[in-house]
Amino acid sequence: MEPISIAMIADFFHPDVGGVEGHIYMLSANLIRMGHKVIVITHSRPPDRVGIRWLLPGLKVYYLPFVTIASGATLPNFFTFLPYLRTILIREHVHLIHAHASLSSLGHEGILHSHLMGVRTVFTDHSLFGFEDAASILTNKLLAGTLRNVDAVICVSHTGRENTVLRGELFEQSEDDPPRLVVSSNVYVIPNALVSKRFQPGLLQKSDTITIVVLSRLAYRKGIDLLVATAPRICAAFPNIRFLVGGDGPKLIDLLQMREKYLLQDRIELLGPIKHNDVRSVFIRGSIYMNTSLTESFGIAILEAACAGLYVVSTRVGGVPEILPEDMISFADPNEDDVFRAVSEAISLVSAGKHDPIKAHERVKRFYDWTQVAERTERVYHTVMKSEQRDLWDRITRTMRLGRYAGPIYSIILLVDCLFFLFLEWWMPREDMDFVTHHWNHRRFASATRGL
Amino acid sequence: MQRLRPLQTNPEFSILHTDSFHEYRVENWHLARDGSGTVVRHASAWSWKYSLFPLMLSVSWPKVFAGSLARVLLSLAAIFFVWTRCTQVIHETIIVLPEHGIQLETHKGLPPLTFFTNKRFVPYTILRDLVINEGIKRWDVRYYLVVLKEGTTGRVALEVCFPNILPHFPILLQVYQDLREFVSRQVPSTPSLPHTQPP
Repeated sequence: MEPISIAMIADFFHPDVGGVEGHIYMLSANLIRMGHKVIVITHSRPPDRVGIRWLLPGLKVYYLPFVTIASGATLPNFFTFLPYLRTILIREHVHLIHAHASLSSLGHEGILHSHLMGVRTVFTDHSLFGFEDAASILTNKLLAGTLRNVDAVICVSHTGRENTVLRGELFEQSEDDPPRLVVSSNVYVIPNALVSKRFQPGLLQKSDTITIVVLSRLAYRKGIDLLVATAPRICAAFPNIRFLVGGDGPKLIDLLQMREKYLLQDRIELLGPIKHNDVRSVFIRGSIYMNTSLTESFGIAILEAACAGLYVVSTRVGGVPEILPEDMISFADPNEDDVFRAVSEAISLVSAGKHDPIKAHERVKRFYDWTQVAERTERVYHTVMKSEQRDLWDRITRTMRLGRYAGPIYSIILLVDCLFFLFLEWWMPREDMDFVTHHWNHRRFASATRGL
Repeated sequence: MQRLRPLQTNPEFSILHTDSFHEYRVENWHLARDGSGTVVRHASAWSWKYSLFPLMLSVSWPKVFAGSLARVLLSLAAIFFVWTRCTQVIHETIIVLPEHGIQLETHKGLPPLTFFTNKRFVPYTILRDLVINEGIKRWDVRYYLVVLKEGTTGRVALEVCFPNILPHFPILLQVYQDLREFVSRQVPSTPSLPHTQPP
């Protein structure tokens, strides 16, 4: 595929640390290695992460002045991003934008505005969401409005694909008789990956104690309540078990209280927040990784633990059953008794020496690789670039079919968007923009510094 | 001692080389970028439209009650009008004095007369480096050339070259390439890298 210019748009990017941020960065780095030009557009983190900055390996990041409301997400709006996006897409000669995360309003706006500049759109959804409560109903309708006219959707697991298709109404009536619903052909599944070199297993140590590692944000959806309920039972039933819990969050209090109540201070060690660079050093201190999440769309932490040679015990939720083969993971239903059964099974397996960390690492290394993810994503981009852009009338009719109230509302937003765009074309003409002619050229940098 | 205009697409940029100094001047006009070749001026001399203002002032001044707020506002408006017309940016220059330093100048006034000049001198002893970077200015993204200098407390301070006109990238690249030669000769800490050519 010939090189194109790609703009990644997300609220969640470095210096914040997280799954989505790491995914965007690694994907961009691999796409740059394959010859494409990638820029990232995100919101600023004052006082010092403002303006336009560069990251290795030649990744330009635009930190735009938007105010955040909660945990790095900006206020949802529909028009304030258009002037900046128009300037950036035109001056950088961008062909395609790739928006990440359903909670990122910058990403949603990017998809809604890009067609005005003739730029194609791809959306990646990283999480699972519910359908029942009021917040979910509203955000799902917003998502449906955004995804109505997107060119391609990528999900990180097959469960995630089901969830996104249902939430975003990515299905159509087929022409058969009787008409049935068919999923749109532009929904793809490309899993996450990890850098396996960073998660090498440690040296084998013969000892009687078996350490169970738990490393997650201590929040409700990560199932800390399950951990609090089962840990005393496990400690009572297996005297040679120790727990190592890393991470921070609102549920830390519950863990501390449980530890006090059952007098398990010497059996449960709390490490506090762990930096991503130190995660491997925590992993190699244990032999079992326990994950009790109530919902998990992919579970990259599980993969990282398995790569470091740990045997995994996890609740059977979301996309977790898709990521590892049966002999490297024990599943449990999200209730106390089943978790206890699964952990006992894991302990007996590990005590009998039936789990080989080195072999596990070699296997996981071959399953997930960032170059493969980048190649698959590139194929999606190629398909999108070859397909035809929908024209405005098509977009309006599709948007009107969203619903009795959502349809007209979103159509009005689309039309006002077009008018705002025409105003901007008059107010800031294209020919007066400061176009980008020089981008980072790694070969020239290498040749220029070879003499030094 | 001739004033050269090295860029065909940007004739508002001119260079003057003499024995004692080198001047890089950007004037406050540019060619229309739609290819028609018309000159777009951002600083205009007295035009007939400006004469309407004294006319309106002389008509409305006697009509308004003497000493009232309206007279005060009218006089303030008149002063504001005169001030904006007389502080239009005419041209901005960088003057390089070999062996001494770099001087950044802004000339303001009523074209073609200059009333005010703002001069900032950066000696070579303080000058650390020269950088072209991009910045966000309201809804636009512009390239800017900046001189890094050691501030009063040892921290790095920035001096933007051509801060009002903010010329486009081809001009900045030309100035940057020329200035790097002087800077690398005089300031031993900055490494002299080979000339960058467009890819």
